[in-house]
Amino acid sequence: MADMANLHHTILSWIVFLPLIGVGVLLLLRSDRAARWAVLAFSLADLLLSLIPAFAYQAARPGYQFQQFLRWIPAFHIHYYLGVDGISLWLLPLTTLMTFIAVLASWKSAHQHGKAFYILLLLLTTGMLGAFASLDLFLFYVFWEVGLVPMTLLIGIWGQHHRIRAALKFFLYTMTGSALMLVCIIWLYNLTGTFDFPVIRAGLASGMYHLSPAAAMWLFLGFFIAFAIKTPLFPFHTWLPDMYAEAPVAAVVLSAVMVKLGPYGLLRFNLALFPHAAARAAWVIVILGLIGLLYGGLVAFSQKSMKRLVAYGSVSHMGLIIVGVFTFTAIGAQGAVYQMLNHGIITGGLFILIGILYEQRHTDELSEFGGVAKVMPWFAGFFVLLMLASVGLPLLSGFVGEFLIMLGAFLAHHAFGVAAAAAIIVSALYLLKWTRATIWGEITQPANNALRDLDGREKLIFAVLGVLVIFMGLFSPLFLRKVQASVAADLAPYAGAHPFGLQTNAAPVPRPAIPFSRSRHVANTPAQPAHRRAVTQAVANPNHRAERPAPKRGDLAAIAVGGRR
Amino acid sequence: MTSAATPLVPAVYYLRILPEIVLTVFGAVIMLIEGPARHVGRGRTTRWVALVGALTAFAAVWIQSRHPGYAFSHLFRVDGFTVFFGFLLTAIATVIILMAMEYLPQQHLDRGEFYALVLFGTVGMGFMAGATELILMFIALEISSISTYILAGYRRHAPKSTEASLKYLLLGSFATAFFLYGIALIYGATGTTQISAIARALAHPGAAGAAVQTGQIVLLGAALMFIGLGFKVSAVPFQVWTPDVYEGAPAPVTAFMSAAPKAAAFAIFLRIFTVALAANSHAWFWLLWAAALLSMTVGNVAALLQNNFKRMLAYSSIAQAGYILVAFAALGADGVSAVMFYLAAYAAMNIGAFAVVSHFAHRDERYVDIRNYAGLGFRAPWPAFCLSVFLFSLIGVPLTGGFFGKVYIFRAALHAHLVALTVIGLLNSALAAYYYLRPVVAMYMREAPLLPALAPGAPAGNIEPPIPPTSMSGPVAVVLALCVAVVIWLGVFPGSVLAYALRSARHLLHG
Repeated sequence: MADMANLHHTILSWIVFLPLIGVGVLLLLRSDRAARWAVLAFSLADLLLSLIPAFAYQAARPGYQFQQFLRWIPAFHIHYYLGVDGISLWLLPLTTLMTFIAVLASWKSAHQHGKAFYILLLLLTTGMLGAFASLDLFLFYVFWEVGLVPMTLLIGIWGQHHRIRAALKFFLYTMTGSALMLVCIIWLYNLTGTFDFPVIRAGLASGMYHLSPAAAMWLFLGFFIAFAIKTPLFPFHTWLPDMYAEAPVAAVVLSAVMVKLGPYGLLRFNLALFPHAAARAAWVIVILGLIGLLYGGLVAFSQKSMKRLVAYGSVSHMGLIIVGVFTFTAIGAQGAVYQMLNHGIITGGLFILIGILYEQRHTDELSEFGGVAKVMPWFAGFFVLLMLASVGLPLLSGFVGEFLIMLGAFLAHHAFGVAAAAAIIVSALYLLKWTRATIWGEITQPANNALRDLDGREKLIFAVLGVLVIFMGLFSPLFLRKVQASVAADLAPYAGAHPFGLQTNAAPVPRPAIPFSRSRHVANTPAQPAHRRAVTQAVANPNHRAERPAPKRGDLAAIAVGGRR
Repeated sequence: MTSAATPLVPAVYYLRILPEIVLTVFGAVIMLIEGPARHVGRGRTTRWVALVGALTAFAAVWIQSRHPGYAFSHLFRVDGFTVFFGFLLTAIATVIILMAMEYLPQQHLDRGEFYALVLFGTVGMGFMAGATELILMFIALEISSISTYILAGYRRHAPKSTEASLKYLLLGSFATAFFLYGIALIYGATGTTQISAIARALAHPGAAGAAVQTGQIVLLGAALMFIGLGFKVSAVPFQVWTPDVYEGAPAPVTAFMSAAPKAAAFAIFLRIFTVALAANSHAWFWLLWAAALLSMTVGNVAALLQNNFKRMLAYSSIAQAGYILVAFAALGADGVSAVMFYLAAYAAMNIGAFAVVSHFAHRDERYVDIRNYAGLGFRAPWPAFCLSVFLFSLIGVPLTGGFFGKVYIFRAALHAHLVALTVIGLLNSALAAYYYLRPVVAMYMREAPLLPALAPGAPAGNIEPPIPPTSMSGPVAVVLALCVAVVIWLGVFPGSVLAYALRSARHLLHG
């Protein structure tokens, strides 16, 4: 029992640092071949490990679970504090899954310096997992920045022709946002004397720490710009197409996960810490999201290169996610969280498909292909499946997320709903155009006759992704029921004063009409009281200390629960 | 009774300046044995003597730290502040000596006086750190400066090196003259050159007697001293000498100059401005503010345009001085300790970067262009990795000392409500990422150009030749390992150094 309890508190650390142990092992290995198998083993192990909290998470309990709290730099009140709630819960398995997929996808692309490639891949994974699991602002920033370096190197060393420009652009854009975020984090520290996110959140909510509206707005903007660049939200998106066009496949697959730090950060930090500023800025941000949705889709439609098409498609989809977050409705935010998972999986999958074509033809021009289905039936099948999921076909995962976000947008304001629905049509346009140009029709280029279909390894990749896309389309409540309580707690401050004048009594319908949804766990609970309970707990007493592990003798640096400050 | 029993100079006074005594003795020994040793073909003895001397001085700082207090009629004081800088300066001297062990033979400059000059310069800097009296500060400043003037011109057959030395000498003499003039004015206004006495006189103007006109005189004196010290730490607008001197001086000397005299000058800076002139802080605060802003911005923008690695690091050091001035402008114990912490982190990462540059420079410093570094990341993985760590630390990426130093600086600045300076400073560090990444890009992302028949010393057109393979000597490997260890240690477990710096800063400010 004691061991089980201990595992409960250290499981997140194991997940976050297992890739780092992998790095240590890789450094000892001599051959690239051995390194490849080792990295596959480590990424698979991490994937399995990260499923444990996903299954063991208790949906009914709001607040953070699997918390681990250790002193790190006492002089500065910096703690090593990990924990997950419904918002971050599924992002961990997403990260480990896509790392595993990325390793498989780059299995054969004969890399120079293969070992270094895999080491950077694992470092990047640790950075992302750590950022998703951190509940200490300083720790979050450390992981956020640490992920930046391996990603830059991955792009810059193994990318295409203009790789250096893309790498520098990526680094400098993100760094600028980070600098502003760092100012805000230090500001909050000077105000509150801690980096502990739940403490800061509770203190700001209860009025214990006074923040003037103007200061709150500046802080909101500082965080917002960092996350908007990461997302990337229009007009901060210009680094993304370059990166997608130049980076190696594995880096793009992981980038599709990394950009989730943007909406995640907005949900986790901006909305929770600065509700008034968020409400005031909401109009502008939703409109930016809608512009991004439409603009990204239109630009994607006009692209000649597949990589850039997916890149602008990503801008478009991420815009929709931001709209979902800033509707301040439970449905919209849940849809955003769900869409983060879908987008990570689908974009990664689509990009691997492009990589398979690129590897054989050394081009990703739309005009170079056509009739691929005739020579690559497996390829075409998975392509169409992922494409339809991205369009949002019912029964597939993309539909659930998009539908929930649009529902939220309609609830928040009819105009938003109409705009979002109209803009989503554009995504169908460019995706269907792409499919027609690539998959269907006659083979126009003789070179395409020699295209090789998926081999076993690639079939495995797309079998995993394909099953997941269908599964997440059919059984979304399995995922969403663990998201609900946390999202509700996050949106609690907006219950009284919804920025778009929404009557919140009617708003948080926790169970929208999702096809094939049947969730016993939530169905029994009346919606409103559950919501209220989360609200009152979050506002009056976030009470996270009670949930912290009791201090155990022998634990590193004496886990301090009560008197840690 | 007691006065008869007390000797004129108590023995403990000598313990309080023990590191300086040790350094002087070892420096003198080197000068004495250099000739005979070379005569009998044992010219390499001197370098080991110097190394032992520097390490002994490092140990002597520990002995010094056991005997806090004033020495020699309040000329010199041993407190946490002095000891912090003592450890820092002797550590820098040690590392520079190790670097020179590889560099000097490579350049055919292997003479013992180099080591002696490093030790003598460190003596001056040690006195700068502990001096509590303006005249001693001036003398110490001159001791350290004269050594570095000579060291800057040590490659005396290279015109650039000679030019660097001359430039540094002329402008440096001007700067110290300004400093001296400032001392004279302060003395005229307060009637004393003791730091604590000046502080008392300025805090209670009535007690000093001539209170009528002293206000302006003190301010003028402060401004003149600011010019002198601003030159030494290469703050804008007194930075013009820096790029030329850094480029021309031998690489280990540049490493030395960028860390040690700068740290010592900041020590004087802190003692004069936050202690002696504390009562007038409202007047000189804006000088600091403007210098900080200009140094960060000018340094970073100019560094963007450099191809020469040493020049780039020269401009970078101007920008880094700007960050330190931000902490200085924050004042208080927070600001002072942030200055101290950052100086330590800066010394490790900057010397480390110069150590790599010095290692790859080759005969006559042929390979000091950033483009020379193309493809080096996979040909020389370990030095390239170390250089990357130093550069990422200079950018301020987490888990390095540079990052934590910056966090500490900007926390102090925000605490003092210097919001504009903080935002500009952090945006500057994002801008700086561009040029710090250039060597990383060259090493890892570019292929070395293929130059089949390149005549030696004649770069074909715009193509810079790649650095030929080199084996690393033991001392340089030690330097790199030490610097990486310190950079990571300060980034991951900064607690102890931080606490020590904070305690020393309180010591400094509250007596």
